[in-house]
Amino acid sequence: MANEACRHDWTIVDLQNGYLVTEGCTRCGRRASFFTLKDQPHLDTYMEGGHRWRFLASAQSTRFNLQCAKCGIKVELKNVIGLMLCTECAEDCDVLKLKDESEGGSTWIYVALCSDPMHENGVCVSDEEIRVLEEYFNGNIKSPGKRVRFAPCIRWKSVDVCQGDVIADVGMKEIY
Amino acid sequence: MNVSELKGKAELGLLNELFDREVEGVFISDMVSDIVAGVHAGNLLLTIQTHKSLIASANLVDVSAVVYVRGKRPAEDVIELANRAGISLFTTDQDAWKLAIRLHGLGLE
Ligand SMILES: [Zn+2]
Ligand SMILES: [Zn+2]
Ligand SMILES: [Zn+2]
Ligand SMILES: [Zn+2]
Repeated sequence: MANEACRHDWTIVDLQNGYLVTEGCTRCGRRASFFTLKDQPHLDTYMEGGHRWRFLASAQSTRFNLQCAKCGIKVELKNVIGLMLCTECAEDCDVLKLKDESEGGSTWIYVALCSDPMHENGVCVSDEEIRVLEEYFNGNIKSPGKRVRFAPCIRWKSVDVCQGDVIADVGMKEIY
Repeated sequence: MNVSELKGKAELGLLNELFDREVEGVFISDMVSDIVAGVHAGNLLLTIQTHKSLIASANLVDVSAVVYVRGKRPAEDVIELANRAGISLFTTDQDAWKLAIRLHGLGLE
């Protein structure tokens, strides 16, 4: 467990550059995303149980863990496959409530994405992962009054209602 | 040096509102994953990537401003997001390398 006395100074460790891949089931509409180090994910449609997975999108992305430079404790962000800046929400969405809870200044909400946006098993990014993400990024912000908050994607009203910009390298092949 | 001083000294074209703040160092990258992991708050970001995801990451790591090199310009929705995030966007015809040399000459590392 965490060293209670330490005011952690988080640094990024175990940085991996890879790909954020999204697949969709052509039978039930279920979506799933995963992080892979391979630049050739399943591009073909394949069966898994009753699902028929089809490749939807892929973008270069990154994964990392956070470690405290003072006490050495490491938090593995194993459920986090990506981050999304929340730009539009339904009024009754839990993610938006996070903004209302925070007073004054400018608060930006980023959704921490797990690999199962449908959450059939109720599993998502953990509270500890959310806490260290907030500590790390807020610890580095210098703009007065600015703050970032993170919401696990399980707090989404729906994957279609919450809209935002996923932090990923889209269109890398088109830039030159 | 702050953003408004830099605009004049490096001859940068402003694309949105000017949000003046201290520029502490320079970071050059076209990959948002690099940016999230490598930028320090207050860094000036030099890039050719004009998509919105870049602003989402620049905001997360609190860059002081973004300079699109080689004459690149972002779309209107990107500019709008940068305004909300309080990040000034600049464009220059110089490439990242030449601009970096110039910024170094101005005392930025
Ligand atoms: Zn610690
Ligand atoms: Zn299915
Ligand atoms: Zn929402
Ligand atoms: Zn989730």
